[in-house]
Amino acid sequence: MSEIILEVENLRKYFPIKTGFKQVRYLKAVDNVSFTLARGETLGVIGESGSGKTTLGKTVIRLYKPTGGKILFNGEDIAPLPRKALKKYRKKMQIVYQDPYSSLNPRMRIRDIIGRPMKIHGLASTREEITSRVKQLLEEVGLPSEVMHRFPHELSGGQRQRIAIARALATEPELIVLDEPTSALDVSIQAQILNLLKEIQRKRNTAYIFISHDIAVVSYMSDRIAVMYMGVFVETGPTREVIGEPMHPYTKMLISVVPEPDPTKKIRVTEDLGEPQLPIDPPPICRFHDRCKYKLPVCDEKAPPKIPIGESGRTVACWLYGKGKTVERN
Amino acid sequence: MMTLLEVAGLSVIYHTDEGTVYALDKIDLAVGKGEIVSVVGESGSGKSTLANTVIKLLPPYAKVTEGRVLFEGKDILSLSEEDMRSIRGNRISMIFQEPNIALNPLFKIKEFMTDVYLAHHPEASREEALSRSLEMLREARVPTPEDVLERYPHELSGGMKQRVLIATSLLNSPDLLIADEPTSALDVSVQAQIISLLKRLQREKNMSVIFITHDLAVAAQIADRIVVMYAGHVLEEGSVDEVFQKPLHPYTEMLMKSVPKIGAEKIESPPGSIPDLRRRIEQCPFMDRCPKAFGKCREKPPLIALGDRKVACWLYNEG
Ligand SMILES: Nc1ncnc2c1ncn2[C@@H]1O[C@H](COP(=O)(O)OP(=O)(O)OP(=O)(O)O)[C@@H](O)[C@H]1O
Ligand SMILES: Nc1ncnc2c1ncn2[C@@H]1O[C@H](COP(=O)(O)OP(=O)(O)OP(=O)(O)O)[C@@H](O)[C@H]1O
Ligand SMILES: [Mg+2]
Ligand SMILES: [Mg+2]
Repeated sequence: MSEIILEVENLRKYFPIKTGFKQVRYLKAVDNVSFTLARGETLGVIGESGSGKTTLGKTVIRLYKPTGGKILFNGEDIAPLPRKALKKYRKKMQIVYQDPYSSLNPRMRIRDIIGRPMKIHGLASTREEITSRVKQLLEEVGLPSEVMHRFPHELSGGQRQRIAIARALATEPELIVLDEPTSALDVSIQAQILNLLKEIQRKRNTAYIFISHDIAVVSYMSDRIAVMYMGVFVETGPTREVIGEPMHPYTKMLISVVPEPDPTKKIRVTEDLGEPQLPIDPPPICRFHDRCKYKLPVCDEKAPPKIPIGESGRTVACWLYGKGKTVERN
Repeated sequence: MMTLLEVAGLSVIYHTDEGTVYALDKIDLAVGKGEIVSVVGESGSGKSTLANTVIKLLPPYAKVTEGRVLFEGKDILSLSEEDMRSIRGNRISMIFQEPNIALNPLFKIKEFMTDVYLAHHPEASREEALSRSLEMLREARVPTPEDVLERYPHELSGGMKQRVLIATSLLNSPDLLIADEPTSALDVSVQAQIISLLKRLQREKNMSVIFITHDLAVAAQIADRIVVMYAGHVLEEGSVDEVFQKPLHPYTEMLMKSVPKIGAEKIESPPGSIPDLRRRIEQCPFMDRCPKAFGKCREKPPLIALGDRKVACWLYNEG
């Protein structure tokens, strides 16, 4: 068993919503999410727009203050720490965003963009030291060292995303959150970046949380997958199992509508699939209840527990699998 | 099949501050009556430029330098703006990736839709326009259509807005619908519903569709025929089944191998990126990235017919 780097327990992130009245309501963007992550492992998080993926990623690395729950990073709970105390963890946890256009400071040269985090965290001090490390990092992400002197707008989208990755690597992180890192890129460029990320992981044994709404991309990248719906993990488990044999009705629906690049495998949608609501003070029952075609009476009464399935660490939060019930899969 | 739209040898340039952009270079394309043609290509390949040329919505600093666009045999490019207005939104409709650009935030859906109908049916009453709008929302399987008519755009989700726009584009029973990445900003479940919807409408109304996408999987789902574009050129064209079964152009092949598939262990990552369009491409546009390139590729291969397929590559052309 490889070494656990991250243990997240019942993590919550609620955003207060202003209403006309005095009473405060909460948008529960992340609600009681738990998972673990080992060194060198990738957890993929899939889910539709607004399901809470980005909020989860930002909360885990403490760019957001959690509403509740634990984040054990190398065994230490960083959830309650105040800003100041976080500094020594910052360099260990990095994030790469979707949009390579807006995530890089347009007025800084590439050398400074990559060199800055080294300076802030005291990983390199002299000019020469920084320059030589920047060169190394550029090489690692497959760029010629001349780009050092350029500005972000002088680079293509794929090149900019390589810069964002190099910047994330600059502090030798143990965990990187990759939030839709290739969603803005063309497929051929996406393939380059995905393979680069895999290679970096192999070399550095970095743990990844890989977020995307693109299920094919996530399944290519991840050892395990978590399926997020309206702020909760409805299903988790090894990629092959979750994708190959989805159990939660939401996962089944999601996987059934992923288009394949094969005209002999056409998707057929005959019914209205509905849309998720905003999770604003949702009732304490399954959040998929209004769209679920397998709904049981209990689903309107109580939230489903997280039910372990088999020995592979798989879980599904659905009453269909509760109390020893067995249901035909598919 | 009767040809509805024919694009022949079309070249379009943009005059920009940074020089001339050669966005389309001698493009050929035909769309039959009742056919769904998917135009597939990476960013900057010229897909939107092609669509905007067909519907004559290019910005003033763009210029068609050569070629023709024939709609039912009539040359669209020589039409006056006034004549074009009777075609646009009527015989040819268009939907875009970003529904917010098309919808006016200040108007309720019913005002927006009835205006579109009345623009081409000046003799009709508001009531007629309203009942037509309701009918089209039903056709587009918009849930609670009466309620949606009373809403403002910001009160609807992205997927619902896109369905409203599809319904709007159908108001005047167009012969051709051009959809420019209509599902690229939407979740897969909404995307699947919209694809099913467009296919059903095409079947029931014998409407022709040009479906533009960068996503091969989406093209495989929706198209009868696909046209593969790269850097302003058409590199390959054929029935969707044949092209996916055996891509001819090395670019198409590369594109297919770089799509991550569920359960795939490895994807190929071709080197390089698309060429700069600020100078006219004189060689095969894919030459610099092509694993099969040879000397002849320094000369640009024409798009030639191979049975009922077409390909622009010297591997298939003895020249
Ligand atoms: N700073 C914020 N304040 C209030 N609400 C927020 C904030 N950030 C996110 N939300 C809300 O939280 C929910 C989850 O948003 P989040 O961005 O995490 O989703 P996501 O899964 O990353 O979606 P996408 O796929 O569109 O990126 C959404 O309903 C969103 O509107
Ligand atoms: N309005 C414009 N002004 C100047 N150049 C333009 C304009 N529109 C497009 N171009 C340029 O023309 C070329 C083709 O662009 P186009 O938008 O047609 O491609 P596309 O295939 O639709 O790309 P995408 O997938 O990114 O939408 C690109 O090099 C682009 O930068
Ligand atoms: Mg997000
Ligand atoms: Mg476009």
